[in-house]
Amino acid sequence: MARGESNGELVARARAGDPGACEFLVRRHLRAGYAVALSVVRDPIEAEDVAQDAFALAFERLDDCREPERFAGWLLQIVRNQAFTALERKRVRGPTLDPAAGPELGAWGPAEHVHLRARLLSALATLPAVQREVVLLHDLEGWTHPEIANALELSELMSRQHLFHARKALRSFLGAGARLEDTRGP
Amino acid sequence: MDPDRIDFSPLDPSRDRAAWERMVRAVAARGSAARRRPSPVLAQVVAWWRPTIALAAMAALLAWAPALLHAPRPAERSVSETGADPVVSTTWWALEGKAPAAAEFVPTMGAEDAPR
Repeated sequence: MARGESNGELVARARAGDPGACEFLVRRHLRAGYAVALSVVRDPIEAEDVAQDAFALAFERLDDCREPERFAGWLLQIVRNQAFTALERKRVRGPTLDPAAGPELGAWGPAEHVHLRARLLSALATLPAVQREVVLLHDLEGWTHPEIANALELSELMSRQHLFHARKALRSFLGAGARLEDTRGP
Repeated sequence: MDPDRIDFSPLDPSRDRAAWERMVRAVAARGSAARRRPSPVLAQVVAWWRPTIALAAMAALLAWAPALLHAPRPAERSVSETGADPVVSTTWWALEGKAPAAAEFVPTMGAEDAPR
């Protein structure tokens, strides 16, 4: 049963050309890939593209994954590299609109989420990169601290600390925004 | 449920189940296709096999050409060189009305085999 299979077993089957194993690996890790991409590019649509490209690249290079049990950490490193490449490409292309105000924000989800999304992205932009990754993997993807520690090569204690500081900073930013909106209200 | 959790659901692409499912399937299909692609070394061999065969054929032709050009043509060979039967040679000379040269006549008639 693929759901109960370890990453190592799924990677071995995917290496042997089993398309079902590829799909289970995608189902298991695509959201985490998206979370890490989002923490770098800070644009949901671009993060989706980066995560997809990173997965395609990871499958192409699957034979280079020396520790299949640590597939998640290996994949997230590819995602991170792809995300930085995308950022660099964007920088070379020239300045674009702030992602928090970009038209792509309304590309998916209900319209009322556009404003919330913009506020969350602005709040995330205030955090250090590692805190963004930890808080997104924990609160968006639902990973546990041991999983985060293993994938990001941190101690569990550091993972807890990053989460604590990230949440505190986000609440402070979002709370301040809410208070500002209250004063603007009717 | 963690009460301190930040609600990132507006940033969650899997909220739209149908779109997310399409994306998962598309990524899995790309991944499977990437796995089916031949290894880089094999891909290079496949990509270069036609030019390689063409170059090998050209090299073989160039090596063979001098031998082809310098080989004597059958028409230039004399009757004696062909080692023909004396009866056939004599008949041929008679029909052609041609007098054989001594260098052709002697070996054809077997003078070379005569005891010395």
